[in-house]
Amino acid sequence: MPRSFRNISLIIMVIAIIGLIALIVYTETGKKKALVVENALGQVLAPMQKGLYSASTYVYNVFAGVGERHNMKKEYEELKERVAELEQELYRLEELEKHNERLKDLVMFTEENKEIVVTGANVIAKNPGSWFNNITIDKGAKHGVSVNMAIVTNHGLVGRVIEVADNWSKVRTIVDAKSAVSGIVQRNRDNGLLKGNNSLGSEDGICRMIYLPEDSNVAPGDKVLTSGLGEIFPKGIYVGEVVEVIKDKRDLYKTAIVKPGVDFQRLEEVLVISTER
Amino acid sequence: MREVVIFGILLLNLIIQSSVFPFMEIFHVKPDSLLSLVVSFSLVAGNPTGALVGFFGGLLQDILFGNNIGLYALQYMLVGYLIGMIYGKMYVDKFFIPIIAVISANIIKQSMMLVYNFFTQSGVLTDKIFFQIIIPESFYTAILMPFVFSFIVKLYRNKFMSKKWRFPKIL
Repeated sequence: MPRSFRNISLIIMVIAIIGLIALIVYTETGKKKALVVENALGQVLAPMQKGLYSASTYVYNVFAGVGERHNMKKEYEELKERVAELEQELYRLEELEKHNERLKDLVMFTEENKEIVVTGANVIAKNPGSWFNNITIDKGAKHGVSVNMAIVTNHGLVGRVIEVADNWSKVRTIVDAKSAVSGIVQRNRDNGLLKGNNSLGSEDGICRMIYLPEDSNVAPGDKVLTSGLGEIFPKGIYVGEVVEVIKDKRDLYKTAIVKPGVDFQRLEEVLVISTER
Repeated sequence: MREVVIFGILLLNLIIQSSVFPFMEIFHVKPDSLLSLVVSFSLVAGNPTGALVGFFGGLLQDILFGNNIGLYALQYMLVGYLIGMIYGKMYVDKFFIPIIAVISANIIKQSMMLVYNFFTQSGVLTDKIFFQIIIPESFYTAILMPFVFSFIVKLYRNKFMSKKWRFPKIL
């Protein structure tokens, strides 16, 4: 390689590095709407990702089941009994469900129901790498999704929308290190801030609830809900359960380790809800 | 032709990495197959290719998953450039050099991530990161590396790949 060429390539590298750093700083906070390139690329990749993601979920579940196979026989007998019990239960519940459905129609139109389910969505991809915990869903601006809408499942809060394209959106989950959700302990109404903690590899999928009052009697087993402060998440969405309480000597507040109700490893279908009235 | 092939490989890798690898986590880390691709290209084809593959591979990840644009592009481009510098200076076997290269590339990449986290003050607890992310991810990627590397070597035996990178004739 001639000397002059090496110098040119070094100069190009330096320019590229400076340019990229500028781009990182520029896009760090401002970007809300997906760029044109992003939109087009997502359009092409989303169906492929969707197929592969659901295929992998299936394979994952098959392998997860292999370990449990050896004590299946015993479980089978137990389960047979359970089925009989549950069948009884089912008849009762079916009756209740019909009742419930009728009531629900009414409730839909009452004013108390401020959260509106915008749409259901499928998870089609996860962020590669260990440092961020974003997911991609297959609904976008065309389906009425917009930035800062909350994402939930029946197990609790998943996260919020941070970027919207026409047919897909990026979601920052509550276990992402950049996520901060205002939470409240259901039992004693203590407020705290739920921070994601994904960087600690083995503690993946766990939140920390910080700034709990020093005299708080929060204990393992307490349920944590969203407090509605900040007006992004509606009040009272279930987040998770406290598994451990820490008090560092030099801190003026308590920290609770919260295990989210949502299993971020096996996330498939989610709901998009909005807080607007 | 070569550009199309490389871009296709990067695209395919991105799809697999985002939809299959999340289910292959061991000790809560995933293998970084993009890194092993970038390092392989750098070792086999040298510099403009290595840096460019890193840049575009990283940019694709940024566009589809990143919080901002340019973070992964910068990391992978620098890694590709640095590994590409040893091209032609030493004998590259099929096993040990690629593994050592990919482990050091991973350490460089993660250090840049640490710097990024320091400046954005994202509140990540960084005290145990070396043992909980860097070491396991390096090993997991290193296991993958011989397969990726031999694939790229085979790819470069094809005629359309061996054309030298040149500036256009007008220069």
